Amino acid sequence: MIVDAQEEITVSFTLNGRKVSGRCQPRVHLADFLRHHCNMTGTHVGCEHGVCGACTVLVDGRAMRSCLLYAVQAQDLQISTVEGLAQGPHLSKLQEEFRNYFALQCGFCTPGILMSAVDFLQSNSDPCEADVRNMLSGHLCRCTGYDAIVKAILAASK
Amino acid sequence: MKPAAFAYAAPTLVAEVLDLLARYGADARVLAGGQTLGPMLNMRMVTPSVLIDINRLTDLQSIVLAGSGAMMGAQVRQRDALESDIVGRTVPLLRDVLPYVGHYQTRNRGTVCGSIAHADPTAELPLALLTLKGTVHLASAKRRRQVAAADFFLGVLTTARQQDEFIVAVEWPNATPRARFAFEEVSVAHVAVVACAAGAEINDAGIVTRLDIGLTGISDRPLAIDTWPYLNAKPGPAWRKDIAACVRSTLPYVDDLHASAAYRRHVAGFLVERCLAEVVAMAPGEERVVR
Repeated sequence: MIVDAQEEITVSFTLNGRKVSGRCQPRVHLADFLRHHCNMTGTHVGCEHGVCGACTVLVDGRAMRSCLLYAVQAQDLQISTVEGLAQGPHLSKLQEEFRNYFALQCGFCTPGILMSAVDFLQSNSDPCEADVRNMLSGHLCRCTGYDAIVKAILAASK
Repeated sequence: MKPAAFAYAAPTLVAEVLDLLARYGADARVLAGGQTLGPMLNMRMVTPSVLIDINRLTDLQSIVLAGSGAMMGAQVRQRDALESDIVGRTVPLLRDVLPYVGHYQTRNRGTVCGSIAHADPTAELPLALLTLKGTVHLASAKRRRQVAAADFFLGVLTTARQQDEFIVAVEWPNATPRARFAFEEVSVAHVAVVACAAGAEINDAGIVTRLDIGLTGISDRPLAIDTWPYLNAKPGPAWRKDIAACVRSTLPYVDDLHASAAYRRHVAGFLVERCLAEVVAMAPGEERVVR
């Protein structure tokens, strides 16, 4: 089956534990779909070519660029975004440590870094600083100089 | 940046992929991980009319030992290859190289075969495949064929793949028990300016009986050097310096905004010497600590 370029197709997936669906053309990337069709604007769109990391979300538990996935590819998958981290008014441990260490200033890069760190900490229970910095090489932050982010992620791993 | 409009197909069978490629060929692009095709689409450097998404295929996800090598299907993600026991045991150079490929987040999605298909002249995986004398398995609706890595990479983003073909798998030859490997890279923002991979076998008398050396980042494709003049020798400092001098004098080096040809030539010799010192110092089959 081929979806024509101008044709809108229904896309359904699980977003932070809830079923969502919407219609879009094949060329709509997942970040735009999340923001414009799901009204989930926590995922930020920076460079739109996979470099800055601001749009990073979890796809079936793994951190990926949502600007390099098309929404049609998310059909039936599990997507997690920054909106799913806190439980009501209670921040996750990782978010608390970002607050404790002042690991953000403008906050534009933060949602992507948080999602990468969730995946990273799930598969690296006792990371060293070099591991964290290596993982963070996939994100650009122009405010913090990264030090506070590294400290926050290491603290969250304890 | 948003991609130009494209029609989209997500086949579940390899035969459907081949039918689509036979029908659309030059107008189509195969989408695997999309970590390099995605940026090119979003920046409209490529504007295919049809995108053939192979992420719904069900039978190219595995790494299997097949006779003389590890066969890696088109959907194997770089992260899965890095974490694979088969890769760790049978293709140690690949395990050493993978942490240098892209970033944690792009390795989660990007595939090994996709990087081979893309043939970026600074990419580590084409270098590893060339150095290890691996094989690319191609399929079209008409035929299946295998192409040696040495014949596959033809230039910048250019390979021996025909427009109706796609890479179903790459084959990584098994490392022999005596083999030792090293990988070194000088990079700017994680993009290689020069990278070197080396493999060697040294017998009980301390004589080099096999030597493979490849470099990338220096030219329009990864390049391997003729190593036969350096076989059957004791691998001392003079031997290393001779090989470094050969690398500096015989390979082409490009000038671009990242580095001058003179700098690349200097670094290439330096990295070759360092890789050779590493493989000589290692015990056969010794595990290298991945940074």
